Amino acid sequence: MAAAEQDVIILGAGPNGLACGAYLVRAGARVLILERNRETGGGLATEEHGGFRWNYHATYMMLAELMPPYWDLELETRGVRFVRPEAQVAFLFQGGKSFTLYTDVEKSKTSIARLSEKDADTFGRMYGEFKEMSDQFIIPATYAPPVPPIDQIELLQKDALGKRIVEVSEMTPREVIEGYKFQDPRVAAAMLYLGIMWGIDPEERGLGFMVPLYVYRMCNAALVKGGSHTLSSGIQRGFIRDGGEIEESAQVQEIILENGQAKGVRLADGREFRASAVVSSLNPEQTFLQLCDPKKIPADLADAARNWEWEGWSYFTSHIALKGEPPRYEGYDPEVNSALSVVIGYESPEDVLHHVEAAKGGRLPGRVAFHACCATLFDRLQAPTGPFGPYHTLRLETWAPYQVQGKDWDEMKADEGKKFFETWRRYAPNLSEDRIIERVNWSPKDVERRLADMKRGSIKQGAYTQLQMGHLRPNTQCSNYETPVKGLFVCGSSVHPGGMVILGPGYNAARAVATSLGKKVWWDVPDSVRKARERGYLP
Amino acid sequence: MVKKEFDVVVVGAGITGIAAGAYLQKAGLDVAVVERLGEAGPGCMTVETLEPGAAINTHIVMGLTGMGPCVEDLDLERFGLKMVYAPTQYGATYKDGKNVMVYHDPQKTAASIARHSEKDAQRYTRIINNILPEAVDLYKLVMYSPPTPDNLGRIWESLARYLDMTPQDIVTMNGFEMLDLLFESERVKQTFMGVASIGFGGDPIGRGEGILNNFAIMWLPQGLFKGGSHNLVHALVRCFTHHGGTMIYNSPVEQIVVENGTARGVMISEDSPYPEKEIRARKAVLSNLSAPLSLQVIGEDKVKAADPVLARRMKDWNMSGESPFMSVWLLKDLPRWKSDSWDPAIRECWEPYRCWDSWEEAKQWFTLFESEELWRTVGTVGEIFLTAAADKTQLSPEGHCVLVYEEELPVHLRREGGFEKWDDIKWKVYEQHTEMMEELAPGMKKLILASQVHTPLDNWRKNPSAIYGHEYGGDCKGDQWYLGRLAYRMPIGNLYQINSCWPIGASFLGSAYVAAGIVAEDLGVRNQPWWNHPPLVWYLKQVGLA
Repeated sequence: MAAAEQDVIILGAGPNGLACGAYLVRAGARVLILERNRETGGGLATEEHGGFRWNYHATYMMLAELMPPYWDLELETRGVRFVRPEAQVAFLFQGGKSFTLYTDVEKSKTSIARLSEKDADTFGRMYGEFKEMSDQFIIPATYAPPVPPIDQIELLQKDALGKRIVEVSEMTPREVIEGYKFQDPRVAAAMLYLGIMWGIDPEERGLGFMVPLYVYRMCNAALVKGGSHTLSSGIQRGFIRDGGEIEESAQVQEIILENGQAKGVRLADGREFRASAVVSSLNPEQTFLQLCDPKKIPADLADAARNWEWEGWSYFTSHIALKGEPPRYEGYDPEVNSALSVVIGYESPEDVLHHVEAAKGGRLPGRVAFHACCATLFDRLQAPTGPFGPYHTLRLETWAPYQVQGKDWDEMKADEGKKFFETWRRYAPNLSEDRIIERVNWSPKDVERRLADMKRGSIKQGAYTQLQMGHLRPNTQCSNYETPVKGLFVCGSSVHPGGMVILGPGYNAARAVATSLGKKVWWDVPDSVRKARERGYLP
Repeated sequence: MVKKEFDVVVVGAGITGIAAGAYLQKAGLDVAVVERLGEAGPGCMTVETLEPGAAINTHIVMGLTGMGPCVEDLDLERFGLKMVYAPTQYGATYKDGKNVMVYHDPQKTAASIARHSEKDAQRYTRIINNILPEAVDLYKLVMYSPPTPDNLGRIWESLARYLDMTPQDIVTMNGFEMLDLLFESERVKQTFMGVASIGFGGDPIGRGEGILNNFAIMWLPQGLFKGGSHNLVHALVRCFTHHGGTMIYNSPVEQIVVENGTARGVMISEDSPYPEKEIRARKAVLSNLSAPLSLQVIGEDKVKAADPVLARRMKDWNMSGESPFMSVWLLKDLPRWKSDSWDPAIRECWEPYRCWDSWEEAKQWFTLFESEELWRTVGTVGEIFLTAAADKTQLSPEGHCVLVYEEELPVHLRREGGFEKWDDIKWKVYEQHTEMMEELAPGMKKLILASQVHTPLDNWRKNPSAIYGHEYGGDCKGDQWYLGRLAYRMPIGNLYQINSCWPIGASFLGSAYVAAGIVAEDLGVRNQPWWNHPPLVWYLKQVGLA
């Protein structure tokens, strides 16, 4: 049983809560993390069935070793390693056509050239630009507090790259991709899909800067060896080793507010924990309206939480324990067989846009489209090695409405899972239902049930919109991690820089909390941030 | 990893491995526990694969940890261990609408038995009253001491005294004969025999051992792990990690390195995320693998050179008898047992057993089982787990609950085409289980939202040490019982076997305790002020019997 007096209490043991706690405990603070679920890790959830490991939620690590906590918290010494296949993502089209994107841009160009030589050159140019924008500014800005938009624009105006970043930022994601004028609709569809695949509205103005990051990093994505949960478990063990405490199945009922200050928390079972700082990794509605008494916090803060916008759509995933050989795509270039993920069903940008519109409107798309991954091609640990093998673990994922009009996900998800598998099988005929040992379908409703902060299946705790990004995420009063309520901090995906297991919110919040408590900030500013500051992009 | 060398390397983060590791780490040694999976406790997992929040305990449910000294020695409550003790230890619910309930409080159990037979209730009370004053010493002797001929003699003497018999009676009698001599009610006998059929204290139809096994059942100090069984694993891993122990996950051990007749460490698989493939052990290597796998990982030739008889025994170690099959249902609401009208206390019982339909059927079952008559044993005797009946935190947020029926089945499927066929026949077994449950709890079928099965093959795939899906390191009977189990000290320097030993590795952590004690003595660190709690005392306090 944890002590009733702590320096810091963190709500939620997801990646950000854990990372924030791990920094603070090493700074000498007494830290208690309270988690509602019976397992820590939040979206870094790996469930096991008969030796098959299913990553229900987060799977593709976009930043991996680029995350400063990976090095600061010595995660590589705790067995956290990434697998980054060279062949990253293959796009399969009707009639046996395909292309594959690699970590090596020259190989990607060669592959695209089979559809269009001009598009291959365009991709090379675009990728180069995206990489530079990301490396020089977007990634460093992830691990630094956000800057008010006007100031940020001014800082970026000093050179051509900065100006280009501003220009892209002011576009919609669709305009960014269209601006490159890909000739082949299939290549254009693929680029649009990569740019928005993690829930970016293609028509949302002011979000253009997400496209370079996502396209570049989805060409450099990695799996966590052993399954996604290995990442959170590594952070967690370091935290415990350094003296931190965690309590699971702990239902926090209330953040104790006295004289406008956060003094601790009260649990549903009546216990109280007191602390100098309460750090919430939850969404704004949970933090400010459910756990705080809205009458005891500034009215504009409560209003901002009430106006918080959830994401327009969510995700359906299917997890399969497979007996026998991995998928073999018949009639396609063999290179697609070894890609980390395979995208099926988008023949033109209109298909992509149609899918988004359907998902936003509470409908299933007319055409079955998804991306799929056979993790065991790259990590033998994620399936049993015997007896009677081989065995593989499959995962498919698609955009899906949180609520399908007039239907209940619980009743339809099994049929949906079969439908997706049936389509997959048309491309990889060696797959068959009778080779499935067990399958779990995970609907948007399940996302919300398991991860209560992801309301309406919002995997990033809330929409990416111009008014909910950067310095405005979750609002101007809280985006520097300290809230107007003294002693209350925020560190979840609903704060800059957002979600997708990049650990930015937890990392940035740790500095804010440590500084506020007078604890030593023992970690260095990352090189990438230092360079961006030298270049003048960040203050 | 930071270090490549430790004092002690434990192979396998089952609960026995981590608990032994935690004792040794807390005693001042530098310990690494190396595990193939990404999470500790392969036999003690709680997953949410049917609906988020609805806890499925994929194997261990019986929370026996509280009966041992480990809760206090290792201060496990501080590391998050939470036990739930409902009024009942377990029960049995019958198709004829009757039930038998076994409580922590023996008087209440006697009252439940008295509904079937007043005479049986008196007999039960007399036996338990004989045991209780000596229970601390008895549990220490049986569960938390190494097996020795002297200890066995003392066990026989104790059992004889409790039963008003001679030790010679005990060693020449099996569980059936004993129950027939003690009780007249079939339902009472079926209850005790049904629970004993798991056989983790010995074969119910084995002479002598069957008596010990049946004894363990009559008053079983068990509870639940709050929120799910994996709670125990978290507490153990946190304790171990807090004291500075190193967990090395995702690292299948391929070889125990033996140099000049002494164990020096382990080699882990190329698949491991750790770049260094050799982990050295300065003082001891503990193998928490079942006998046949342990033999393979040590190297058959090396064991043979040290002790050819042991090598042969480990190779031929029988792992056929105790492979569980689990049918899992997600239900809209808690089912209502047919026996509810007999005694509504069944509603709060989280483990109402299925114990055959008659005493005759119970007797036949053992023969059918040994003859691999699969279809005639399906659905006749097994554990029913309805954890949400006693622990609401295992419900999903919508109030949906998980119902589990887990039974040992003849495992080899030779008549079905071989062990591999479990994937093909599993839904047929499930259907029979569903029909059986419907008879025990009419209306249950209408509550089903989703289902899942876990076969012996699933167990084996998950854990290579669980050969044929065996749940505790090899059948615990006959020449594999008590003195016939493997010795903790191996005939190779610095090497210890902590699986397939006595007692078995269930959640009472007996083998962990004994193993840690032996290793600590050999390494000169046994004398610790915190390492001295008696068993059972903590449990008795929890249930108000202290």
